[in-house]
Amino acid sequence: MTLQREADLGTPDVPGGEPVTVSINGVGVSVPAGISVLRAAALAGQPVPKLCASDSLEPFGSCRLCLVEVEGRAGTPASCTTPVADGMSVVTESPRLARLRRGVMELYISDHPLDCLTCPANGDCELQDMAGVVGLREVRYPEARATHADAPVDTSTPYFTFDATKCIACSRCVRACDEVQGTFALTIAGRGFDSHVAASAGEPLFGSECVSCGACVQACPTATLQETTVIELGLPTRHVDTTCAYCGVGCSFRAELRGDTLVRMVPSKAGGANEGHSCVKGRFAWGYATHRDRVTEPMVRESIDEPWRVVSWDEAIGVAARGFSALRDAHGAGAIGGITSSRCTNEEVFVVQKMVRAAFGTNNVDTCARVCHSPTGYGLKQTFGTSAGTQDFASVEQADVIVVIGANPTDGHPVFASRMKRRLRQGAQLVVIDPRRIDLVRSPHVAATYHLAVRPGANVAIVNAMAHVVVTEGLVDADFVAQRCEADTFARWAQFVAGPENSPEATEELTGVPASLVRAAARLYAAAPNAAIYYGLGVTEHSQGSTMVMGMANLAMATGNIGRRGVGVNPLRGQNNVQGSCDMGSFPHEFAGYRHVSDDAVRAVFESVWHAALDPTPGLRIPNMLDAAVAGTFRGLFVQGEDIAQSDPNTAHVKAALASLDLLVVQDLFLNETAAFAHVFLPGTSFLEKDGTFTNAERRINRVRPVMPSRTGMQEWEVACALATAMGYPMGYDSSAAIMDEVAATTPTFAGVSFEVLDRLGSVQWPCTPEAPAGTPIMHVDRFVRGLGHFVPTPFVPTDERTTRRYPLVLTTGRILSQYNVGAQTRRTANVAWHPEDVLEIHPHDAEDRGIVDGSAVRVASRVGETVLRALVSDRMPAGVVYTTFHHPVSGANVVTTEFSDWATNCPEYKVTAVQVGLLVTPPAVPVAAPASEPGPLPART
Amino acid sequence: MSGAGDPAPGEASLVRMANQTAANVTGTDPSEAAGAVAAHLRTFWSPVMRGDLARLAAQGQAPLRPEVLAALALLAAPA
Repeated sequence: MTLQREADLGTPDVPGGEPVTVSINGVGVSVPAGISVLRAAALAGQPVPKLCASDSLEPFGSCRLCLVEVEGRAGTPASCTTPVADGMSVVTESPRLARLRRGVMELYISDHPLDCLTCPANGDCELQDMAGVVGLREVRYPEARATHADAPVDTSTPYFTFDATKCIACSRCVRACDEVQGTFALTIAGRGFDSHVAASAGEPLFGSECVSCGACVQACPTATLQETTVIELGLPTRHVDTTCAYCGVGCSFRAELRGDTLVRMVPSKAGGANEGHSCVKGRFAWGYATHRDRVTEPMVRESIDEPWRVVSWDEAIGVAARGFSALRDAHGAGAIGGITSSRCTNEEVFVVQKMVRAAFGTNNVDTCARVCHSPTGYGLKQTFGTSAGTQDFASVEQADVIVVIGANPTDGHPVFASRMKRRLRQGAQLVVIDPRRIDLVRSPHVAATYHLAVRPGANVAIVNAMAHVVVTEGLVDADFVAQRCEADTFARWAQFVAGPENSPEATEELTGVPASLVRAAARLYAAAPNAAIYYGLGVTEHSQGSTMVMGMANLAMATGNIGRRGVGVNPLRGQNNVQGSCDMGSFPHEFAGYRHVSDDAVRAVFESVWHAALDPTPGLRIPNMLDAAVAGTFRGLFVQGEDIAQSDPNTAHVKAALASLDLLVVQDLFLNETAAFAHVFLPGTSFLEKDGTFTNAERRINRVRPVMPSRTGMQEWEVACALATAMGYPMGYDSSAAIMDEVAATTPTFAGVSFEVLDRLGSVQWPCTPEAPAGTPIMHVDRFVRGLGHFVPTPFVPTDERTTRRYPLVLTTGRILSQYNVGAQTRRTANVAWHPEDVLEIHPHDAEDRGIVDGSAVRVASRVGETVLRALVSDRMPAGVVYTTFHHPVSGANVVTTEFSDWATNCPEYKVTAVQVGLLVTPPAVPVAAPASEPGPLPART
Repeated sequence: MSGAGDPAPGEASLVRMANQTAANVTGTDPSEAAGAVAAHLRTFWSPVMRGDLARLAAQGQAPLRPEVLAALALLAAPA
């Protein structure tokens, strides 16, 4: 049995083409103008043989297999490079074409190993298929000919091999790297017979610029580029469509299995977010799901210094339920609460927040978005009316100017970055506002027009300065403002930003950005036909994060860059379901759909459906819970799929709070850092076992389908239901689909969402309502969600975190491509090959002052803690600023981050920590990450 | 170094958050400051947190900004 591949129509679609009629082998067919004859024939159900063509790549015309005859034209043109024309008559099969194709195939096969029966791609090889299609029966060339039989095999990367003996030099891999991924790591080196695929300057793939996105593997028509898992396990025989569980891009994948064994994850061309592309995490780093560190049985213990005891589900849930009930009875419902996870499905999150509100009896529920994009929720709701990115990802293809602020898409959101880079290669201009010289500032065929290397903490001053230029230089889109926005708030805002204190010249010393650059960037943004803002945690994770979000929204409204394709204010969400976890009512002041708990009408809806009295006042946020735990007034916490002991700031404070709890229940895949303080451990399910939905950064709701049975025997929502029920609040659903039905019944923006709709349409972007049954790709088209756009003055209030003589440097943190957040997943994959430890990037001047060289062990100390890292001397950071990632717990990046947070949302100020860095003359064992596979002590079984 | 009269860590957080809110919402129009701070506390702070802040204010030792004190007065006033 062979897996059914996704259809490949040979060349890309050309949207917008008027219909033309062509005849394919005498059969008339109506197709869009501009597409190739190859694609037209495939659409007509009469596919033409091909090798170098793929509908994910531009036509290349190299293999000469797709030759056709066109009436009235001489010769046999390649159908992939021949566009259709109205009235064209094409013949795809004739004796002449058959002879030519057999000749071409004979040449290919004459230099190809005839080991099909033992080849890993046997049955999934286009070369093999085409040999059969063209009827090749013999190869006439002598066996003593020159061949590539001794060509090298590159096994340097963990996830796929490059076997040059099987390469037909079709360039599909090279073109995929160029066109799809945009890395340009591959090339065809040599000439004639010596032509061969080479990475960078002839280096092994692992040491080259290759980012292991898998686009080349996907494109390869032979076994030249082959997944290691296919070589080891054999070809898959069936597939399940599902959604990646890494970043907020939310790529759609075909999980391809052999029997019940997952063999590979292949990006789905039908996926609205990724359209057939992937990154090294989603494509390859899924092995954590079956890693031996997985805990699959519930465990309990009386106190955190005792060993774990494996127990039944009933016992674990009973212990948790009795514990929470006792705390509630003794200290009130305000003494307990829960944290939901952006790694979990909408359905799992909805059920946990319902459990907290209805069964615990409190609004003390929060989510990990608290530490990433909570300012987005606040800022966009204030200005536009709802917490949502305004565009779909495809919108960037119409942007003329792209402004990236505080984001590093090539590392954090790589599949969207590829889409963005494609647009930049087409000519869109780029402005990067970031202290660090991220890859987008200059990479192959992409260069930022302006890089505003703003000092950490000065974002608001920059956006105000840009707004100052827009207002004082007459660049406001007066028509848009007059028709779509509040006149009074605009006037107040305009007066504010026009103040001389906000000019680029006045703020230059503060921001560190030359005024001329700010003015030029503002003019470029304001004058563009379509200008779009994309931003990340470099915006939100500041003490003024919410102010900055509102500042960007103000700027977009003032310049009319809202409400159509190519524009917008677009948060690049960190985790796979940050958007969804927020949508599902995870914040302590809001029900699902961002409606305040004090709204009597909204509360009545939930009270009616849930049959429970609900608290009309806001609950505690995560930092408030931790403070209250230390103070002794907060005593019991349920943590769903989060590792706050590693991810949240000021680790010492977090651990002190966790250690203060009478009851900590952790639901997770692994015994993470937080679980060290837990009394009950409820094993969670990986995304490969879940049944539900994720919502990505463009509000796209995608199905997550179970690829394999739950290794714990339970779905996570079933566990939450059991816990609520054991606490005296009966809660249960027949399926996860029924949970989404409840969301739809209670939440207007999800009214049209159901698993049936998602299965039928593939995905929808909320709002999905009776008025917009297929969803809403672009928001605020005719009016803002709140009616008229609301301008908010954004005075710059500096952070209280200041550099001093004792702590003279600013530490800022971020991510790297191969790792994901706290690394719980990626550290348990071969991705550690790229990033085995977190390092401290330090400017050469700061390094020299301290006697630090590459590889030095350095002590990084802030006023709250210190850690040891290895140094990487780099001029990516400006002098005075150092940078690290937080993927390895042993590095303890958050040991040094502080309690300061965004004024409106308490989102931690990860991006600004005053530190000192010193060379360790006699270093202790530098914390290089231990392999995550080292098993801990086995729990006792009862 | 904390002294005997310093607020507990949770109390210090409340004071810092309230003052920070006041600083950020009052930058352009001080006349609206108290109302804006009160609205923020009512929308986002739990009743326990508001109560703790009010208690600290009543004790008179917490370094609260005038806008916060005015906001607390608004919150305490009958609806």
